[in-house]
Amino acid sequence: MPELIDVRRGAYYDSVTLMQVSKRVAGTPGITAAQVAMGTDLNREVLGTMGFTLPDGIGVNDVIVALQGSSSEALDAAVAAVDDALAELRSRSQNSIGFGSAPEPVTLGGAIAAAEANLALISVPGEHASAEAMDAIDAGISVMMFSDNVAVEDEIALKDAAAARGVLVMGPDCGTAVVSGVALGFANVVAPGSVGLVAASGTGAQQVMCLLDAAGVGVSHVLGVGGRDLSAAVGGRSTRQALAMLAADATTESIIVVSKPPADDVLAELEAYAATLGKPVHWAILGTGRPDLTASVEASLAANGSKTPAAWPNWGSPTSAPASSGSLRGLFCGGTLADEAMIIAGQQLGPIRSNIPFTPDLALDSAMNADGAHVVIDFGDDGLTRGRAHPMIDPSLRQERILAEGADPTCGVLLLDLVLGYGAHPDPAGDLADAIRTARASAAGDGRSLPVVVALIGTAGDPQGLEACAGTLAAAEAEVHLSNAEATRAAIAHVASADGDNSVGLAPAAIVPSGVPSARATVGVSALALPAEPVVATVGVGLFTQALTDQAVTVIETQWQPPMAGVDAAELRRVILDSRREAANRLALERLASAGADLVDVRPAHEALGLERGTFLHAGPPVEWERASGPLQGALIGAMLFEGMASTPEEAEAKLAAGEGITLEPCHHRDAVGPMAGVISPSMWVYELHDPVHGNRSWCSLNEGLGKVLRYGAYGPEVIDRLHWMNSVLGPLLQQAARKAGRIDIKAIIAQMLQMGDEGHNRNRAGSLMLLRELLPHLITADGTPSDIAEAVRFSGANEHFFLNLGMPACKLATLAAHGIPGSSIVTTMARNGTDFGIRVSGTGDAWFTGPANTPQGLFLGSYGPEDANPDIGDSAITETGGIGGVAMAAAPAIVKFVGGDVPFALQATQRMYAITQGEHPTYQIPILEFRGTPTGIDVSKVVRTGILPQINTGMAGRVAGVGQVGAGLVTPPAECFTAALAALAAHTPHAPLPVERTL
Amino acid sequence: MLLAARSPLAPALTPTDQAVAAPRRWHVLAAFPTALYARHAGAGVLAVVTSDGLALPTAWRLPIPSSTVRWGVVAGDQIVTTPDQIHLPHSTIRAVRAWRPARVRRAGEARVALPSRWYADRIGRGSGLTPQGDDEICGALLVAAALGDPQPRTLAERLLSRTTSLSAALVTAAASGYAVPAVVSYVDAVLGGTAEDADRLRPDVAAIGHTSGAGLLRGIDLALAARDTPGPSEGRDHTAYDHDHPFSPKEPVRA
Repeated sequence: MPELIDVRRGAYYDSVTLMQVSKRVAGTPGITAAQVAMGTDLNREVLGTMGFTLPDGIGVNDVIVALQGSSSEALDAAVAAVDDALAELRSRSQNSIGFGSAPEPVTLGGAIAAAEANLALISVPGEHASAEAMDAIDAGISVMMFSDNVAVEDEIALKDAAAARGVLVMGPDCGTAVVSGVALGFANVVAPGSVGLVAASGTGAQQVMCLLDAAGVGVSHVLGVGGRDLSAAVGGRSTRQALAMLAADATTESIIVVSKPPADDVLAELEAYAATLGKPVHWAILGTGRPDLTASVEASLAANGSKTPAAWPNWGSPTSAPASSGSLRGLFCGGTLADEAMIIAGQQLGPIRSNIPFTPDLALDSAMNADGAHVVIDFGDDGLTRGRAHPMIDPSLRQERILAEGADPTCGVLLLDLVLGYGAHPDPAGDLADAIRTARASAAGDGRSLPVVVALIGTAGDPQGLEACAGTLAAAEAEVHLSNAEATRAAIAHVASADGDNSVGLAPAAIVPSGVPSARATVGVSALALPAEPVVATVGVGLFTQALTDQAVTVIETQWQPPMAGVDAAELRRVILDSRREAANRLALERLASAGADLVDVRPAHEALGLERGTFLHAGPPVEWERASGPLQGALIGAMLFEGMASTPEEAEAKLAAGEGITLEPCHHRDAVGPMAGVISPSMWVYELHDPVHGNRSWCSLNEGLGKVLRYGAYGPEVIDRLHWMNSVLGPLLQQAARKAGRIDIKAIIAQMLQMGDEGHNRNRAGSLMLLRELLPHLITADGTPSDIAEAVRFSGANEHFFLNLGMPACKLATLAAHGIPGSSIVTTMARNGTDFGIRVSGTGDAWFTGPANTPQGLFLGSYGPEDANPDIGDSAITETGGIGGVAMAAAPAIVKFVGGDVPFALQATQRMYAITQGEHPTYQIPILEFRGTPTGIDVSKVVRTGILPQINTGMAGRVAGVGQVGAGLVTPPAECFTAALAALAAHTPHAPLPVERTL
Repeated sequence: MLLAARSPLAPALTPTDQAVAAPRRWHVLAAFPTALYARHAGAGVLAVVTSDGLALPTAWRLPIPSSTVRWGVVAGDQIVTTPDQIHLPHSTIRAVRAWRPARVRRAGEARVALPSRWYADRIGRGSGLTPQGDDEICGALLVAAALGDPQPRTLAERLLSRTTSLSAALVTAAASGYAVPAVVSYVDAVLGGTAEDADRLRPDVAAIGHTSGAGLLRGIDLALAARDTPGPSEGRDHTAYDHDHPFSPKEPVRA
């Protein structure tokens, strides 16, 4: 049978979306099997077992379309159907992008900022969820993590960070929350009211909500805390925070805490804390010997003076079949409902086997064979949801099991749950009723009567309709109960003699504080506040975004992609969760932005930098002569000639290759910078800049102008002659001018030039004229011949990049100030030597992280073409590192005529950079973006998360030594610089030991 | 179809005392990019605001910004409503949820001793749909509500016929402690938070409308200055503003 495998590289869709697409495509005529999935290990394995042969090299960021059909025409039609479905999804999620409008947010942090969201909802795969959650906490808003498979140490780190910010982490693995009437994830539609819920259990919370609703009692908020919150490891961190929030919430008058069996000492500590809140707190905690959820709700209703209904709603009549000799088969979508059923049934029926057993000896095997035993299966458990949606969305696995139980002679009764509300299947009762009918018919065919009992968790307000669903199930002769406890007891009655202990319920204790609420939690008005009207930023499954839209909630969706290839998700999490990171990066940005840059002197490098004869500084990370690129070799040859260390280029080359008496060293190692080849030899004159705020100094060579120049690797006689003139005439005159001027504020010139159409890297026209304006009065009165002065002024004035060699050290001073902050993931150096691109990061000291330099794309001078261009070279990417240059391209739309691209590209390039920078520069502003500060402080963690690389505008050197400049263009660093830096940052994080002691 | 969240304080779209809900006709008072106001003589003023508009406590809120909404009506037009829907020429707005307007917290007990003359001098004074004098009254009423003093409400409500119907609706809401979130946060901070909280939040109030923020602040400041903690002999009748739960609407809004 013909099959087709189509791999689409670098396209991410969430699993629920792709399942919908798969389902749609499977319906194409002639298609026998269709699977559209991300290329994860698990999915590739699944496709393999389906008989598909996959090509090598498929990554997690690739979409695999695997089709099998009766004919190639059918396959073509199916591929078209995939394209249509994906196109439809894209058009649904993407708004029209206008001229130069901001790109859609790619991180949760970006979405929160764009919409001023006050609540976040995360449903990306667990290994990526912590990074997104940290965005919300950093932004000071509470976050719900639907994602499961999040490491417990991540959970603890996130919850500690949240507590410090006065916000709440709901989850991970939190399916249910209601904040100010807005349902997040799976939740039932209930009337507003005065009861607040804290829930370490999703379906448990839904059961409680529905019972309260049936009793006519409304709900203020339902705050999920994640199923592990009351475990010994997590220690109730979010429960405590949620209790504090509800205590501070004006609409909440009493609180119910819902949980699966918790750690006893955690519960005891929480009970003690709850007693200080000044509001009654009731406990609906599952566990052997504890009341079931229904009994707990009844007790809390009684304590609050509300009436418990005479009977909880139920539908359908009990099957009058005699007690069967078979066993109980509970097939659940809700984990807590399964737990509750096991506790209740276990007390009457004895051991219950399960995939979530109370003791390991009761575990089902991987095939989950009942072998005649009493069995309860939680189909929502992690082990059964890998690679597929939760059974409340995709019930197919349970449906299959229902049919299997119908054919199993040892099955005496089927106990099922069906959960309604937001997020659940839109029409769940019909399919379930069909399965029930089929199973019953199958049993009847074998001469058995199979009673079926359903716990129906829903409210009249739910979109699916409680009565309609109950009616559909009752029509299939199922016995339906709103209370899971009652449903369980009804099921037990079918398989057990009636002499068991029917009264599982003990009187639950409500903790009501005595006397005046003097110990009321002292919380500020703004801290711990739940948003009155949620504005939600989402990342992950589109279904949740739609569910919020359907509730008329303002919602912004993150256009999320998995981290860039080569990133170890665990390392990324370690860096993101490093408790030092946020403050360290804030400090780094503050120093970057506050660093001053005054031109204070011009003098020879041997004097300023202590350069000794034979030492040559060069651009970029360290490189040996053999690996040096053409332009760098050319510039070193020129410098040898200029220094008189060789009389011919050939001699210079031989000496450089021999290396005797010659030291090559990056400019950055001396706090200096040099454009393009960046070669500084001892006799060359350099600008000296001073940062009065942090006391640093930085240096840069004098600019030689355009054309055939040393920095582009040219070393002909005119190049060397010019260097000599610069040494003998220009340098000394500039020195006099600089010294007479005192301090020239370079930072102020940068701020102005950005408002005059320069970006400070490849467009320096306004900056150069402003610099000349500062220098002129002192130049023309300098001690020198009128013709020398005139030539110096003409030379400087004719050079459009005169300013570049001052902007670069100014940016170097800024990044120098931000360097060396432990825990900071801010990039403090980006530099290239024409062979390698290297970066250095604030928190990893002086280590370089390198990768092969890319070749710029752009426009060429004269007859030069792409084949003439050398890979990226120069220290000038310090401008982008400092918040100008390519990242500020929007300030210089005219630059596209020089480096390529178009004006909307320039506007969007800058706006895209905000996704990878720590913040905005307060002084460097872009008029066309409403004077928004330039994106400043490139954050390694954001680069690897988003896959967005810093935009660099650059000149292009000819690849052959001696050619000079061949063009200008756009380039980005190689990704491996950032993945390597991330690994080093992760290695630098303090290993946080798992806390043994909890402080509640 | 535009989906909206409805305030429990919003006027009823259809008469509630009739077996069959008859449509209501409303007169459009104003249609700004971020807000639509319409009036029905028996029901009051219906306000619909976009996500970038001011969340008046009585409003229907749309989750989308003004740039994506066209009302299709101008002042003087009529619009029709049915139980959960507002019908506009090009679209229908349906309520799918109740939102929870911000309400000042009860913060102690004191009288706000502003003379009745003060209210009478201000009501309806100023131009526009919400005269600035009324903003001052709203500010004072919010402080009174937080301090549990029923007297200002009584004084203000007698005067409601002397101002615009939209403004009257806002004065009524303020008398029960409801206002836009920024104002509520500020009043809460002034009466129950730290001085830093109050200083931080004050500019948010000042930024409301052209003059509304300034008016509200003046009213709040005057009410605070006129605070007078009652002696033990004075009455403490708080029937006009009790903190019974605000959300027990007779017709809960459901999806």
